[in-house]
Amino acid sequence: MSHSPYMPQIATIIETIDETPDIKTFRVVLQDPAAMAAFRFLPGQVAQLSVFGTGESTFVINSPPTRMDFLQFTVMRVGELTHRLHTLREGDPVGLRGPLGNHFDVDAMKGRDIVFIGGGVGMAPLRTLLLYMLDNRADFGTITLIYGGRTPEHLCYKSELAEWAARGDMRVELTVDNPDKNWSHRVGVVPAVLTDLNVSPQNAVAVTCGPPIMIRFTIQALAKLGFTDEQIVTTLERRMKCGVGLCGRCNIGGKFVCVDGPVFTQAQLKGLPQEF
Amino acid sequence: MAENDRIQRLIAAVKAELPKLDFVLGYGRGFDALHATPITVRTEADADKLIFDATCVENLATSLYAMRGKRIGIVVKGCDSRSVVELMQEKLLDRANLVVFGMPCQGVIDLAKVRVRADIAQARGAEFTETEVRLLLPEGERVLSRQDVLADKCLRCRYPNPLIADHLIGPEVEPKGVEDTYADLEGFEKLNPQERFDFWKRQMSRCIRCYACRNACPLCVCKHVCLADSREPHWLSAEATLQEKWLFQVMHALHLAGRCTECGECQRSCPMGIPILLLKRKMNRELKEVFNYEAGVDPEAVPPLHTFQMEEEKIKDRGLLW
Amino acid sequence: MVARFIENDAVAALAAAWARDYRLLAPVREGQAVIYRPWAPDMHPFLGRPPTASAKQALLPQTENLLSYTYRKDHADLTKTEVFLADPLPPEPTVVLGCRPCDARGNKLLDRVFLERGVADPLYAARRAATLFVTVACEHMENTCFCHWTGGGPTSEEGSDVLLFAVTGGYAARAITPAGEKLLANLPDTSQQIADELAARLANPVEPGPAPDLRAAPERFLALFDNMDFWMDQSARCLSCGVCTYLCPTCSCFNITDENQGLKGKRLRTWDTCMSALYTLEGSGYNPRVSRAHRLRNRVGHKFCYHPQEFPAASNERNAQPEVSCTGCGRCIKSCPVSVDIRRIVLDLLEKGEKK
Repeated sequence: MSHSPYMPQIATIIETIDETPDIKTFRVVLQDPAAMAAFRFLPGQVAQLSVFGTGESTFVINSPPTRMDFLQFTVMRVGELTHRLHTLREGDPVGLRGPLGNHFDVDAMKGRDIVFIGGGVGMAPLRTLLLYMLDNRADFGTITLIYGGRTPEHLCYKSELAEWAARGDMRVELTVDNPDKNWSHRVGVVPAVLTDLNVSPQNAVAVTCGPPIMIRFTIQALAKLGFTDEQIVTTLERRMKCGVGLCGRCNIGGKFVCVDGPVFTQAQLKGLPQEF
Repeated sequence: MAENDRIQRLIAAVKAELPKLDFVLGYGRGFDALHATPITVRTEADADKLIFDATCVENLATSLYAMRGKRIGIVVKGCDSRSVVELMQEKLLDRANLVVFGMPCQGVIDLAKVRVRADIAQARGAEFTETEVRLLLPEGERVLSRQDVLADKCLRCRYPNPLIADHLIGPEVEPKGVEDTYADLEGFEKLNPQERFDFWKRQMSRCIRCYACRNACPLCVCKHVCLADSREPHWLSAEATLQEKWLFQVMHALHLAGRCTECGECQRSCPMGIPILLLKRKMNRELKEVFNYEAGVDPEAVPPLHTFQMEEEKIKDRGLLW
Repeated sequence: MVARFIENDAVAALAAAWARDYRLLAPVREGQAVIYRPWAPDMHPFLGRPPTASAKQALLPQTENLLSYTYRKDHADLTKTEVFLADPLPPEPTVVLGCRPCDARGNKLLDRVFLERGVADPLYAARRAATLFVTVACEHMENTCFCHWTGGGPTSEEGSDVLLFAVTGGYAARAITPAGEKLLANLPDTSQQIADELAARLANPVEPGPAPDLRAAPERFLALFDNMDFWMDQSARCLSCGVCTYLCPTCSCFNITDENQGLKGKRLRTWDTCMSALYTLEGSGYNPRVSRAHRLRNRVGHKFCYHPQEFPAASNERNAQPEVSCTGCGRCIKSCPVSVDIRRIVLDLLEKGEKK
């Protein structure tokens, strides 16, 4: 039989990192070194992780294509598969199918100012793009990251956040709804920070990912600041199974989030039947 | 004609209640003269589309649970009213938000029975009299005895008049059956266990797991939160094996023990014609024998299996065993 | 083209002959239903009515194995686990006997999804290449039939390898493809009398009623997309069961689940239905299609809006009528427990979606 799009490659977990009480990061490498060396993708693309016997789910590859020592995935514990994934340890095998889906249009973003607006586990796809840009720093204008969570504990990639803030070639604004006594950053919701910073839409692209309610208010705030629909980029999530546009369920109108997405501009989303 | 007068009285009653309701669930004409289809009546013009005759087989009470929170009206036959009563017994229905239009019923036709007597795939028309079903077919008129094509439940019906109604659109009907003798179970019960199992294996092998039986059941309120779909715990495999199909039907029957009013919608809805009502009839007969209980008759009665207490006072004393 | 003749009494023998070289699926009567069963010597194929389910099960079985897996524990170090994967077995060559022209046309629409749209599905492709369809032409149109809306007809040849016509004493069989020709190789030609009967029948085809102009369907569907009262009224009767989608010759949505047994198991592909709330329910509890109205809207939209929009060129072959993802077999109407009529919904769309 010709190569089946449903057949995963086998990967090994080389490291797990506890991000928050219910979010873990997994670093994996494909067991076949040649396949790992040949693995090519662009920021924003996703892959399906399998735990055989439990199932498969879609996650964004949140390590950048510029750093191919491993592929990184960040997983919030919500359903059957993610519960099972959270029980796995270093050395355990998982299945991996990918890369799948579309990607951020990095070429179109070259030479422009970039505003990342993330919430909770929604930082994952932003991380891929951010690191890709930092690894190609000269290609892009100013970079601003606004990242929020419920509490300081609920922010992902905590050690990296500090590193990024210390770099000097990007701006990092962190905010939480409920601070603890050690919190030295902002308090409040992400869209309010955006408004407060009065980010300029001039030659800028805003990339946002987070809970649906945050995205909704972020897009409103961006519009108020003068961002056009073409300047706002987001990623969508849907229940997915096949990941290759065949099983049907992730459609929005005639588009499939698994192949036509997950990355959409606000202009593209407005052209779809409003069912998300 | 008396029937036409009755429909006009139904329409008038519905129109009178409409201003107070979100909508009324009733019957409209389906794609041909032998099919009714449930309709939502929101306006007076919608109300004029209401029908009521022997094709009105659907039990509209099936939709009630999904429509909680709305103020709706519903057209019920006698048998359907038992589902309403049972839903009330199980506190799954807010009676105050429901207006019931009760239609005493002379029995509905079982299209499966019509089909073995006539090819109705191209029926051009149908007329129902007290004793006859007159089919207008491409080859001409075909007259069937109404008695021959009535649904089984109608042949033994003891509740042709709705047990609960805010508007009873009479006249009332004399019940046909006195006591359900479960005569239909006798043949089956004569079989030995192996023969019974072989029967069910044969029947269930054509199940396509569409779950029309479950979704058509007015009391199967779990719908998609069902053991059939659950992954945790993982009761049933997705594999379409006989074992999985059969296990679901057994569970379905058990979950309906003492709740099923035998409206027969599970069996009527099965596209593969699997006689699954037989399982529920068997359970109900046991319930009748053990508890002398019948579901959906008395709004105040507590269904036997609802009397379960998490902390029983003491375990059954079995005496000294050593 | 010369037709071959199959006597009524010879149908079973012919099926038995085919069953020596192929997996044969033939319809038999069981209770109220007409079911495809694998060939068995005591079988009496029944060709008199359209089978209850469509023939898509031959190409897309209700469940099939996508892969199987085995875990192996390292006995020296039990924390170490390896996993091994295996492809499913290739499909057997298959003949489907007794489907209808609407079923055979459905294969073309399944091809759109599984072969033409994007990633080609090798499991489907292998089954498709290995399966022949011996179709029975329809003599009349039932009350639920609307193949003529979708570019088909009672004697449409599209997707079939052999087309059978009921004639006096048996069937006149016409090969549509070379593979079909081979299936008929050992049969006698029809007599002149039968040939004349067939010619007369083809000269006087069944006259279906008028069909609506579906060119505006996509646009009017989208115009009504946000009108939830419209969809609520269309769907209030719907039971949200899987009858319509499972019996449909073109519905192809599937689920993928793992079934585990100890240290091994399989990953299955299973028919799924967009009418179920679970179809789009996300792990977080969010569901973009939370009600029956949303789900029915998706089914109608997929067939009459999204599909024609995706394959606009296909409409050129059909007098500018759009190719819809529906062959008008009417099974979703005929077997629906509450008589939901997709024709009625489409007609309502065309009427109410018109810009005022």
